[in-house]
Amino acid sequence: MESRPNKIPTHQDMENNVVDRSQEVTLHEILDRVLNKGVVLAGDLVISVADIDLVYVGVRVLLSSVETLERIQSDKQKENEHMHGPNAGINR
Amino acid sequence: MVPMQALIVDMQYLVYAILPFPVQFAPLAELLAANHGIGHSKLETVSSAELIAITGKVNHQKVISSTENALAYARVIDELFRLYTLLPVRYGTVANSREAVVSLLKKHTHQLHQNLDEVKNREEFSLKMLWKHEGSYQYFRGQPGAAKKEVPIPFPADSPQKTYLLQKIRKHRQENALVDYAEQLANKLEHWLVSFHPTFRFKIMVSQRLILDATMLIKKGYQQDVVQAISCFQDRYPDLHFLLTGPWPPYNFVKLPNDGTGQKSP
Repeated sequence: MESRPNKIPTHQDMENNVVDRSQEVTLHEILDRVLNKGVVLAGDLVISVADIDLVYVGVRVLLSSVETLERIQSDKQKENEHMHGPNAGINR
Repeated sequence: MVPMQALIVDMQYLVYAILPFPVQFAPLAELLAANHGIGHSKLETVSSAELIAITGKVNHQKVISSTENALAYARVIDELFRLYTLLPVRYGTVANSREAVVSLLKKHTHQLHQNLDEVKNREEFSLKMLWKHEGSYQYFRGQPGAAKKEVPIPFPADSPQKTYLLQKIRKHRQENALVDYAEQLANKLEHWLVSFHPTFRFKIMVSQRLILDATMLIKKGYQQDVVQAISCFQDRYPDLHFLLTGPWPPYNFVKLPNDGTGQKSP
């Protein structure tokens, strides 16, 4: 597992108090930022999550966290149901 | 491992970050040569007249969504951030040609420049405040203000209805007291760090345990002072555990897209 080098070098007592250097926290923070934050530019993208069929996301070029993808799929499913009835969900 | 696997189909250029002109190209070229992107891809610049995108080529059908790749992606942004003001781009942003990248840069030039100006020479810190113990927030139970005002309840004393309603009222008051406390905490933190002229983003009561999730954008070079200031601030709150991380590239202060998903209100 990788860690971010040189994050807040400071006095040991301060580190013990407020700076958490544990890999778990840092990894979570990195992934939260990389997957959920950042500039989103317009474009086209096809994505796939695990064994779920390819889902066309449309004009957004983004690949995000599972939660975000699930929300997108849920929204699309609702939209689909609204348009075509409750049995017309996204292929899974 | 991130619990997902993603395939990018028919895409060529993975975009890591956006930098403004002017930059000194020699150190940038050196930095890009010394590092590599996801899957050991070579890093290269794609420029419009006013902006530079740092990109790396990705293969068709390539699996890119893993913890290792996300960390490799973050590392590229981190290395660039040591030398340059930049905007991180969302992981997995790809375009199928250099022209497409240039076109995207041109399309958003004004917004990107405005955003780059806002984060220029500044870095992000994250501060999470959590109750030290699971039940710490129960401190608010029975606070003088919580039970002071009587609410008339039109049910007989000791009736199940009255008991139920009293419990709901007490819980509601506790939650309100917690929100008030979190807001006060946010205000005090903002006041405490005012000398750093930070830009703040706050989320309060993210969970019962995580009372305050703050991100701050502060001028580069003050991290020792920030740590010291927050350490002193923590001394005032022995019941709270503080988690400070940073400095980060300004992930939380990116303003594209403009539909509100890219930033949080204070």
